[in-house]
Amino acid sequence: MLEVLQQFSQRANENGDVRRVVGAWTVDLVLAACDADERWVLEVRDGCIVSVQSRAVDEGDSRQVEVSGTRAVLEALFSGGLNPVRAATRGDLEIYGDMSDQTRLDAVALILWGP
Amino acid sequence: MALGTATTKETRRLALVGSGMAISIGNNAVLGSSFAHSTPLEVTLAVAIAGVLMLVIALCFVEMSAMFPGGVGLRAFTRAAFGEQWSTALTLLYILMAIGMGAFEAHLCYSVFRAWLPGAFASVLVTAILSLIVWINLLGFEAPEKLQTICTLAVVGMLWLLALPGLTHAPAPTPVLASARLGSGLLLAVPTALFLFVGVEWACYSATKRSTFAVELPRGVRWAIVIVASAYLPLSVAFPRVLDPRVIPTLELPHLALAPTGTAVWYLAIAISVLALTTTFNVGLGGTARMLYALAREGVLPKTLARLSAGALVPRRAVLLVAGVVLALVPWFELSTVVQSMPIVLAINLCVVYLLALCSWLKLKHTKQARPSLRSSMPVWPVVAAMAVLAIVLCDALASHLSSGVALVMLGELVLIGSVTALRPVPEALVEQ
Repeated sequence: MLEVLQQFSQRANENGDVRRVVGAWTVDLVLAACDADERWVLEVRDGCIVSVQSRAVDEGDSRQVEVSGTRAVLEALFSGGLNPVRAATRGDLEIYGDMSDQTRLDAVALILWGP
Repeated sequence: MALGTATTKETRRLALVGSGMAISIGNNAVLGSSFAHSTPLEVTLAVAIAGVLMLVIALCFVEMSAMFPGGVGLRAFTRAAFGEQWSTALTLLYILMAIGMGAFEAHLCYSVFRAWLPGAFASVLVTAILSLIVWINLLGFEAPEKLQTICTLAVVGMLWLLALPGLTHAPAPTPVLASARLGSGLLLAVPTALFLFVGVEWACYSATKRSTFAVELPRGVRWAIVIVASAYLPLSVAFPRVLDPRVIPTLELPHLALAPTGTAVWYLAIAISVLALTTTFNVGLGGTARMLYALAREGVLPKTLARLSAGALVPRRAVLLVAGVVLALVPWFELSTVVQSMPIVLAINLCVVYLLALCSWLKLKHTKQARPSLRSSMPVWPVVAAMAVLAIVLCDALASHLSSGVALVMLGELVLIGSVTALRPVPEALVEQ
């Protein structure tokens, strides 16, 4: 999973369109695997993913978006094999966060993997 | 203590979001239309009954939204309950209803201006304001929540201010209505009154944390319903006391008739009405466009709608489509048949949508769910009772009030929804591997 997230981060950071669209986005993307009791945190600072860590979540000052699903679903989501809107509609994915953060997350998927 | 304060703050925020989405100037015309077929007592009773119905409906929406956080509420849980095609049809019906309401609000905005400006100036002004709202939406600017809150409170305050003299006014003699059956007026007044509460369920989209769904959201929607009821119950009593009940349904802006023309209160009411109409239109436009965008992202609607503008992250094409359809519909509201049919059409659509939403809740409740968050804790009996009431009023509306105008609009809706659902079935293979 960590490898998938690192590849995703590299791809997103290198993509000019993603950087342009997300702008100065600062958020912690918290990914929770409901079947494995594992958590990963992608720290997004000023539109750039600065770190990917497998760790517990800090209740810090940063805004958070929590994305929860099975490990397989999360892997598919961050490798382009899963449409996030469809997955949320199907109940495969739970997303907690501000609407604007959810839209940004979807925009990244849209740019990287198309509609 | 801090936790308690945060909970109260979040509850208040959600209550204001929900009530703000429900309270609109168009509601006054819808409430007024009830007096065409119901006695004043039946209308007031209907508002109270609709409030209780909406309480059950909204709490079901809360539970089901908690099951699908991040998904488009109605779309997600009707899909889980009834499958792809029915869910698509129901979501499209909801979108059409929102577009119809938007056109109705835009028409009322024109009526507000026409109350103190010549027709041509009013048309130009309305077109300019609506274009400005569309442009603001395209820029991705969302009116600050504080402005929406102020607007909601201003409208509630205005309605209280306008209703107050009516409450102390001696009741006018009730005219004999054409309705022969006892309580038949109540049957149609209930779905019409339910319309006053539409939008409370949108508070579910503003819940951002897991814990919010369990605590603040249910409390927030309860308070939202109390706020909406407190705005419209006094108005339902005041209208027939001040105005002739036979005249009320013919007024597009009955609340303005409660204040003497040309007075400071009248101008204040106009100013607040314009503010409310524009903010409602702004929020409705953005929300409906996002539903279209989500359907396009799923592959249900053409993928051309599944595009976001860079920077603002606005579904530009969806916004333009919704705005275009709304603006194209507005002139039709000049026809009296359309204006008179609209409350009935909306009432029927609403009953269908909410009835099927409650069916979804019932089905999900009795389906064995793997995820704990998919399990419901609400008792069944209030939901079944609400479904029974909705079914009765829906059958009555279809049997007794299906005029040619209403039938034509509904046929149009059916053809459109049927075409989209049948011609664009969502291919399972389109989904990710």
